[in-house]
Amino acid sequence: MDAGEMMKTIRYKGVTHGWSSKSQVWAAVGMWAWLGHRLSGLGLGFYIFLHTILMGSALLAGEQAFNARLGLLMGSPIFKVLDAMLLSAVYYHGLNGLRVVLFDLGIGVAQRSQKVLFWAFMAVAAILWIWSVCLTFV
Amino acid sequence: MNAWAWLIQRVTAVILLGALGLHIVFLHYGHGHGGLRFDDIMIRLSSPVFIILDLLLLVCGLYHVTYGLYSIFLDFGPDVRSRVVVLASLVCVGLGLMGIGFFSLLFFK
Repeated sequence: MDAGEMMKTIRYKGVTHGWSSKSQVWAAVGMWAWLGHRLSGLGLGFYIFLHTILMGSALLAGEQAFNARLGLLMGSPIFKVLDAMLLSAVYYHGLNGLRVVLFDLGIGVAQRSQKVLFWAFMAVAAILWIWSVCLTFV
Repeated sequence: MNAWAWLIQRVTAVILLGALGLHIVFLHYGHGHGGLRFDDIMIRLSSPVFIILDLLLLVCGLYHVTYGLYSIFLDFGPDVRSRVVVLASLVCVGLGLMGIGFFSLLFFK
């Protein structure tokens, strides 16, 4: 069996898993969860950089400058859309991160438990996001 | 050193879950429809509880981000020199942002 054939099949606990169909790539929830965690983390890292500098400089500039800058930002519909995107990243990264911390503590280590935990946390994230967006836009 | 850094990453993650949740509720939704104003910040930061909350958020958030970015970088298998340069850069940027945050929270008027 060469390397290519080995990569096509993975034997785990006596069960052979094939990776030859595209649906199995999409079914690799753990991989997508990890990728989402990385991408949301990068986005949040960029945001915290901007947020610290903008809010810090606005506070130090005084009351008028602060109100003018925040009024311009928060009155813009683009800001509200970006805010909704930010909140989706926060909820995803936070709740998926909680799943990772629980895994590190030995809670829900089995593959099936991990999938259940992931989808349960994503349901909570979706509810929180919908609530936040309603508060933002209504 | 690496084990402690990893553990602190997990500890800051748990702290951020709580602190960020409070931050979002108070700052994003704890003001009128006119949006967040300087007066809202003044009222909130007159209480030491909120100052401590914001400082905690700043320190934990920046550590978590810095460690996370360094972890992503390590996944690309860099050589020792690159690791030192990137780590030093991330620490400098993180400390700089922490300084800006500390100064603006404690000395704004």
